[in-house]
Amino acid sequence: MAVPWWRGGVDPLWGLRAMNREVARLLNLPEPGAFPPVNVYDSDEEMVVEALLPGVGTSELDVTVTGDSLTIKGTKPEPPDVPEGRFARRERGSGSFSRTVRLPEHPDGDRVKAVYRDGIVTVRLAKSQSSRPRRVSVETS
Amino acid sequence: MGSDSTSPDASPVRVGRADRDVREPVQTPPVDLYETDTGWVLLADVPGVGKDDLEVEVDRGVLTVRAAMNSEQPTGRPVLEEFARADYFRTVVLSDEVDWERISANVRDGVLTVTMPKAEQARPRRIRVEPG
Repeated sequence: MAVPWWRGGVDPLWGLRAMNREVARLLNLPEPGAFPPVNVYDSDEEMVVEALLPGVGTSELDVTVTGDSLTIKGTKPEPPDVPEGRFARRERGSGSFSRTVRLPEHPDGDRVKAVYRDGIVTVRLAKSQSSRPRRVSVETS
Repeated sequence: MGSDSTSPDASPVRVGRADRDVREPVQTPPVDLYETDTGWVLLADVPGVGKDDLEVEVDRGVLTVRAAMNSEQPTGRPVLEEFARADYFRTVVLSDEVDWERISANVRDGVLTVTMPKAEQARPRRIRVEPG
């Protein structure tokens, strides 16, 4: 949902930009200008993904997990019923968005929980038993 | 995505940037500002801010918004960090046309709405034209 910098309607570097984003996504690098901005945290038991989605209600929000990918889709609404020309400033942006982030590892399919509060969606994904680190006790012979 | 359809100067409400003493670091929330028949509405994206974390203040014609991002950072190693947990700060210079005593503010789903009614003398009045 980044503001198109090219005002002519066609972005001549669209292909390059798309590739840049794809590389960033695969390497888990921050993608400047991507919407929504996302933080990912990794601990022994779970992974937590947070996304900033001010003004996007839960009815406008769609969270999907496929393998080790998490996709957040939705629509950021426009201010209601504002006649054209009445805006003195417009910085917030609106429209539909879709963002996919790669998770540090595969989550346990069923144990995923998403909560939306004060404009932030927090998705908690439990790690599958097999991928969790296990301590192995060393016995003396 | 819309762009400014009028220049900011066309509006009697000016929107400023953080320039006063605030706890650093702060972030400047993006805003929409538009005019209605009865006044102006300012919307600001402040994710992580609840009703108790918000301070809206009018002093000598300047509206100041301060808001604390009060969401706890999850435990675990950060593997991707695109946003910071910093407080929000923004100032708006009001014109004489705003009835600053009747300004009201509300926050919902991380969006702050400040409603600024026009002062009585600035409101459009319909003048009835009588037949001669």
